[in-house]
Amino acid sequence: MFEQFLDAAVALFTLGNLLAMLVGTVAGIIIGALPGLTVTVGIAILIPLTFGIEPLIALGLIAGIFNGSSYGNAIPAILLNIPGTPAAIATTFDGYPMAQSGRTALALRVACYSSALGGAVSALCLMLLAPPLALITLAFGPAEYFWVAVLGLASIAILIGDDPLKGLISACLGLFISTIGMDRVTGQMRYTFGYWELVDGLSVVVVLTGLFAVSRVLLMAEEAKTTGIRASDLSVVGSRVDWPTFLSLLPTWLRSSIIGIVVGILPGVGGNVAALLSYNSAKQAAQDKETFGKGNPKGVAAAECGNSADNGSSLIPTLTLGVPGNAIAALILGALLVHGLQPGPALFRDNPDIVYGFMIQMFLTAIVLLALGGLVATRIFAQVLRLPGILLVPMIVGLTVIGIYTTTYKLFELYIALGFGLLGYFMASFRFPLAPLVLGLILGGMAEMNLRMALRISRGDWTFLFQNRISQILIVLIVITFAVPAIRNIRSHFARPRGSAAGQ
Amino acid sequence: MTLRTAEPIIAVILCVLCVFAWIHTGSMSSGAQIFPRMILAALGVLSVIYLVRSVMADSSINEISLDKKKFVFILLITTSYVSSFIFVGYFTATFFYIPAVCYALGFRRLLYIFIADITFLLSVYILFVYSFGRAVPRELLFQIFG
Repeated sequence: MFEQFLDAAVALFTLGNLLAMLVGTVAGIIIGALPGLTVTVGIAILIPLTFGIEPLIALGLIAGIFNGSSYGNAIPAILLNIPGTPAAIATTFDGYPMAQSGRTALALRVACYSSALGGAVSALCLMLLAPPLALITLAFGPAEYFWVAVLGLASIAILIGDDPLKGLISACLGLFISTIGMDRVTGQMRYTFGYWELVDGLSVVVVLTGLFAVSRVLLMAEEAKTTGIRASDLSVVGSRVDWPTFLSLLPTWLRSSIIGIVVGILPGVGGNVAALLSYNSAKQAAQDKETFGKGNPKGVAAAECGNSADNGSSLIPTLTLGVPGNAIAALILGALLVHGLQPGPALFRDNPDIVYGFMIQMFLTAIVLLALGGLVATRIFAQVLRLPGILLVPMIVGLTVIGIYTTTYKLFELYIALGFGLLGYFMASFRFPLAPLVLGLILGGMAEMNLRMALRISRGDWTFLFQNRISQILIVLIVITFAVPAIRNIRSHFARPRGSAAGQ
Repeated sequence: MTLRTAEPIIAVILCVLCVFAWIHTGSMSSGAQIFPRMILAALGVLSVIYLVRSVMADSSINEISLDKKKFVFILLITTSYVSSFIFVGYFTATFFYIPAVCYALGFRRLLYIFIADITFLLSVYILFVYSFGRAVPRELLFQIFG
């Protein structure tokens, strides 16, 4: 394993790769800093753009955007009390009060160091855990892989949003869409309605771009403001991080990194949960609890470190099993598929330079943040907030169009992207989560192929799916996942009368 | 529009989709229809639960603000842009698309838009055509005058 990391590291130190990581991180900070844009939109736009370039360069860009946006989110959260994404909500608790009291520079520095540290520790965890876990998955047969797909899908559908029913409907729609095209076993057409363009099924990249980028454009057109933020609101003043402050933050960073990593591995739980749990944990552990919410640097450190520490670890199930744990991981899986790379043990065996290289890129881009998060650079990045949001709307469409067109050279695919953009817009408007649909689309093929393979091996005996020990464990986990909303309901049902009684 | 009025409609649409797609599986071989039918059965059950829940829902559900005017405009102009760029060329179509969207959405600082437009197109040209060597549809103006 060490040799493979060494080989990958050597292959990584080319001008193109290093430049990709740098550009990706800068782009990530800008995307994160712009309210309305998210890392999912950034990666969704990027995937078709990277088609045709070397996989490692494409993945370097993605790793940079992923880690860069974690810090970028903190800029508007601290300067303007605007969390660009839910993951940055906890950063506003102490970041904005720090800015209000003239310690903007300190808050931004702490956020930068915390994001870099959280991202780097998480990437190290990815490097240590993913290769051995990939070997364990060699024991999996078709029945186990079918249940893995079901577990991945069920956990995302149920845990990701507020409404498990809508999550499950979204996942089923994704699975249904995955059946469009020629059946790979019988060669029969399914739901193509005579359109030869649908014979190969719907392109994951086109659907992803439509769902995340085009739908976002439609939503931004409604929300975007015609004026940017005034320059006077973006002043970065205050002191740097001194040595005693740095040392006082070390326990917070350690605790938050662990929380972020554990949360990242769990499917369906995002950076916002990691940030809030880390923040609460830092507050509980602190002796100066009363200063939290009033501008305590530990609050910023905990939130930023927590939400960045889930980046690398969230990729562990994606790279080892091909089962993404959240929307960003699903997009990265899509990027791997675009470049002909199928996640799982075969990826580690056949393309070690790419998979190990990507893990190193996740680490290096976190470190790059330290260089880019300086005060001069942050002052420059903060200026993107002066850009009126309206301008981004046609530019995102322009990039999406050129990206998809030069990937497929088919106008039909652009209409598909537009159609999925509309679907995404309505789903977002009616509060259906998008991530389960994407996961359904990605995992649908895997689930169907393994189900049919298992049935073929067992000559049509469905009990074969339940016979293996690993399958049984996975089924228990699926049952537990389905039980979570019921447990939540029961707990809230019993908690309510007690709360109201206390209130009275 | 409120979620209360929209949700039963969505649930009915989902039910109709399930029935239509299920009927369509009748023309498939038994192997090809297993998985779609499994999904449709699950989706059908979930849609019925969703329908029942939405009908019995509390009337105090939040309003959804859909700015139809802006939505319809952006959809129309984007569809026109997507349909036309292959004929008039990517750069020509985008050159007009960016100001059109900005202007109609209320941002009318023309110099600002022009600078952003040119910068964007130059960046795309340098990245896609010059660096990646990607083929983009030939510009109509070049076809006429070139």
